[in-house]
Amino acid sequence: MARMKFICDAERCIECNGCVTACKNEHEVPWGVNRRRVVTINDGVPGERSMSVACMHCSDAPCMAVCPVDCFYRTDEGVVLHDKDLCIGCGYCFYACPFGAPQFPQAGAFGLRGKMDKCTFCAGGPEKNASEDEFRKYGRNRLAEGKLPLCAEVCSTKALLGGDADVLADIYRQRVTTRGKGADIWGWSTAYGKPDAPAQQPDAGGKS
Amino acid sequence: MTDKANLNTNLKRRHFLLTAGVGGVGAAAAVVAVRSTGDAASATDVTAKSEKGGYRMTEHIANYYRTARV
Repeated sequence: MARMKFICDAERCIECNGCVTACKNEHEVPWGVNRRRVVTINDGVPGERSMSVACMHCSDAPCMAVCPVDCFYRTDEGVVLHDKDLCIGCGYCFYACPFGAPQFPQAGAFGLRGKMDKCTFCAGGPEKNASEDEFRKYGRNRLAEGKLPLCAEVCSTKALLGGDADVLADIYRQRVTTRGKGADIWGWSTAYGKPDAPAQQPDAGGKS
Repeated sequence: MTDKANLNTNLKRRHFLLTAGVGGVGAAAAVVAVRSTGDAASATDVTAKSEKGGYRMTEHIANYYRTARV
């Protein structure tokens, strides 16, 4: 059985926020709730890195462990989902999550947060697939349509990858072995045009 | 006469309590049965959902994996 995972290639992310916009638009996420966001480390400093972060659908999810009403469940593909009909909006999952994935539509004291909302890996919720209720509560169910999360599919540099963990691991391993490290990865053609594409090699004799 | 009347009243009360008790137990059993049927149905729905609506390799997904290998 395939196991669904996200991975963000920090060497490729250009902080365009296309994944954030696509997610909000696809699922009609309410104002103030961001299921996905781009985090930049050492912003403005040479060597800064950006990463797109959302629910990582942990294998041992702390949100599941702390939920007092046990509204979380894991699908056969390893996607961590929750039932909004059971959620009481206590916010424990928000404090437990190391990625800040759980979001709440309202800011207020205990009991005034509203139902928790988070990334569903575009897998909907416990309601019937592609139903009106499912879309209203959880957004579109792209996995049932034979597609992958839109954030990963729209990523222009393919920094954000989503899908079967085995396939993603192969892709990432191939990238790392191709582009090398340090100065080798400056520039796309330098990083990815070297090994088996001699036609793209600069033919100037000055460089050696 | 008074004793007989009291006896009849007591018996009527017992019959009423007996009827109410049996009816209450029956109603509770019916509620439990309906709830368990509902749980079973929802569990079946979840299983069916995961069987028919989960991840599967489609042409769309294969195309995504191919483009991600750039």
